[in-house]
Amino acid sequence: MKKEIVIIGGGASGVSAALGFAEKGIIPTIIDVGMRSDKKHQAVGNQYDYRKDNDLYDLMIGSELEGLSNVLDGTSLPPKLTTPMNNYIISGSEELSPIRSSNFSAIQSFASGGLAAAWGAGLYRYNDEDLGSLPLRSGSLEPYYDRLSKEIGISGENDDLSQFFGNDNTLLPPFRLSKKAEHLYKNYQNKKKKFNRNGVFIGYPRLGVLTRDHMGRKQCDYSNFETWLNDIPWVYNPAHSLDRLIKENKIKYMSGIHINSWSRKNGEIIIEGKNIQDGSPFRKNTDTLLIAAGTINTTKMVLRSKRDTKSRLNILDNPLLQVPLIFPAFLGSPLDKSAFGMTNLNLIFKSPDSKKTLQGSIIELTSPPRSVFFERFPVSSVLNLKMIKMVSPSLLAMFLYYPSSPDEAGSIRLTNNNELEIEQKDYVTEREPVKKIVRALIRMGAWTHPLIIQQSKPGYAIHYAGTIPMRTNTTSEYESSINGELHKEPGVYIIDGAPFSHISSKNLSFTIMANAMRIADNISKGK
Amino acid sequence: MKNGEAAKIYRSIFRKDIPGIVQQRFENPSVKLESAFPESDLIKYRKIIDRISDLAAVEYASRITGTNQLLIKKFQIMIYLGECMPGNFNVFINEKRGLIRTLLMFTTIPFNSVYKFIKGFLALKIKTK
Ligand SMILES: Cc1cc2nc3c(=O)[nH]c(=O)nc-3n(C[C@H](O)[C@H](O)[C@H](O)COP(=O)(O)OP(=O)(O)OC[C@H]3O[C@@H](n4cnc5c(N)ncnc54)[C@H](O)[C@@H]3O)c2cc1C
Repeated sequence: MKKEIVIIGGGASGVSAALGFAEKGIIPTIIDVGMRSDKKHQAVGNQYDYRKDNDLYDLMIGSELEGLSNVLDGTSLPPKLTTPMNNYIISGSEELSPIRSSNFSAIQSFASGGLAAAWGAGLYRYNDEDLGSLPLRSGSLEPYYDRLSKEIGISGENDDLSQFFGNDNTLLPPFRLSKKAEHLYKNYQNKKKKFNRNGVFIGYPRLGVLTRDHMGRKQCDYSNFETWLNDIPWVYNPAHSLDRLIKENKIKYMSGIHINSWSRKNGEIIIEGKNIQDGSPFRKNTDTLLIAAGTINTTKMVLRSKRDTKSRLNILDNPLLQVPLIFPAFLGSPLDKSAFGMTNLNLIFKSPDSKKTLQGSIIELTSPPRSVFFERFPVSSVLNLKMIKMVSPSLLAMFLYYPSSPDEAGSIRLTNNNELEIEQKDYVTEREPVKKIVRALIRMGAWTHPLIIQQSKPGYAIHYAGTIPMRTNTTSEYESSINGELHKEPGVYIIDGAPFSHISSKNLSFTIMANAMRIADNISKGK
Repeated sequence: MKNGEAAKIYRSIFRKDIPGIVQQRFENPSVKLESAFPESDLIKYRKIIDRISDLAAVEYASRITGTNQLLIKKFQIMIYLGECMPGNFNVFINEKRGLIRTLLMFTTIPFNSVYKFIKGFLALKIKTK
């Protein structure tokens, strides 16, 4: 008798595989740590109207001082992960999977929905160039991108960026641009031939954020509460699909369980872990195991199962530059309170004289607390406050991502006491394109300078991949086949970012999801 | 908590009296923060709080010279706590166009910064010996 299919992880990849099985009428079991937030908040309306009359302590700081964690612990977590309502997304990381690293800021999630409960929801289809040396072509992912688009509801526009993002007829209308983004986009449109000749292209992002009601979820209300509240319905969170699948009895879901490893007995796969409430041991047998614990924890599980504390595996993340954009025309202007406080535009840099295609996400900064800007200006605290008030409304930020391949990889290893150790040298980023991008942005009305551009610490892009590369023919125990199967481990599939031994500058998660669904589809054909 | 520490920091940043609730809220993170610093840093910090009136100048000089992390972090905590208060809405959020005000502010930055740096730097040298 065939055993039930087990998926470890209830994040973007695990849920995508479950959606794939559900369509084929197969009911898998998802085993997940699956933290949830027990906090609810009654904040309504626009953030800036709300804060005129209401104390923000519960939303911004919290009883466990979550909102001050970057100050108190010296971390540099993205603002959303520090708000009391959203801190659950990363809670338990230190206890369940401590990581030692001097230079890699690894962020893990043990929440239902995983890291995507906090993501910017930039969802991009990879073309063949993006897939690079991977033994996978975009044609084999297209049907799954389409199916996931229907589930998620992706907004955007077929514009100048379609040549990089693909033409997509299922897109919801794009967002209303913030005033500064509109200013930039108009200036781009006016002289776009010239910008394009220099390799710079601008257009709307593809976001898993609703501009129309979709699958029972409400459209965005431009309230700027995205950083502050949990379970914002218009930003897709895999937990939305997870909850629907549970309700429709299309999956069995076991939460509160932390899996350590698997072993084999009489041809069966025995999954072992513990119940995180009472520490009691957990065991389950299967013949088909899909591991979707997120690249870092999947790698840990594989290394633990092989009791290997010697091997160092590659780990990738996108090198990332943070580019502040100051709009002189908006200096001293009122804060754009109803702006869409996430990515408003994308920039692509692709030029014949540069080896790499770069992607920039141009982000409106109206959602996070204003205090995150404190001391960003090299002036006294009193002037810093004035700058926050009068200058921050004229700022956007661009996250400029570089692709990454094994020659830039860091290394990940299991230590003798079952902790992970990640080492990564500082990235060396090609700066010539940056100069060209800066020149173009200045012509579009945004001032910036290479001297104020900051290179983020490795790990900060949070697009982890490449530990268990996908190969046409696997030869080592840390490689997976095109169908996700781990070398010489029949029935064990790796379905998250781990098999991607090359990542493009376009955010990776939509491709991880499409690949997970593709693998599930292939497995169901054999069932 | 040190005598009037929270009130002094709050006044240095916001130029007004600290609301009682902010004073209370400051205590917990302050204790947590101090536990991560060695005794020598705490002694220096207490001298700064007790002996120097222009804390903003000292904080600025410390930021520029990369010293007195405890003071810098206490300022950061106070900024967050201050932002929580609806009474500070106008301190953080601009609702009116103010280009002239902004340009004027820019003209004062070099003078203010040099003045504050020297003042803070000297205060640290002289008063925390
Ligand atoms: C602030 C932020 C912004 C981002 N923005 C974007 C973006 O715009 N676009 C984009 O493409 N990507 C973005 N990302 C990255 C994206 O969120 C991740 O790539 C994606 O969510 C990874 O999904 P995953 O399912 O592979 O892993 P994870 O999200 O890490 O999920 C892992 C799941 O496995 C479970 N789990 C882990 N270990 C175990 C274990 N041992 N036992 C049982 N269960 C376990 C966890 O509970 C969780 O449910 C962003 C991330 C963050 C934090």
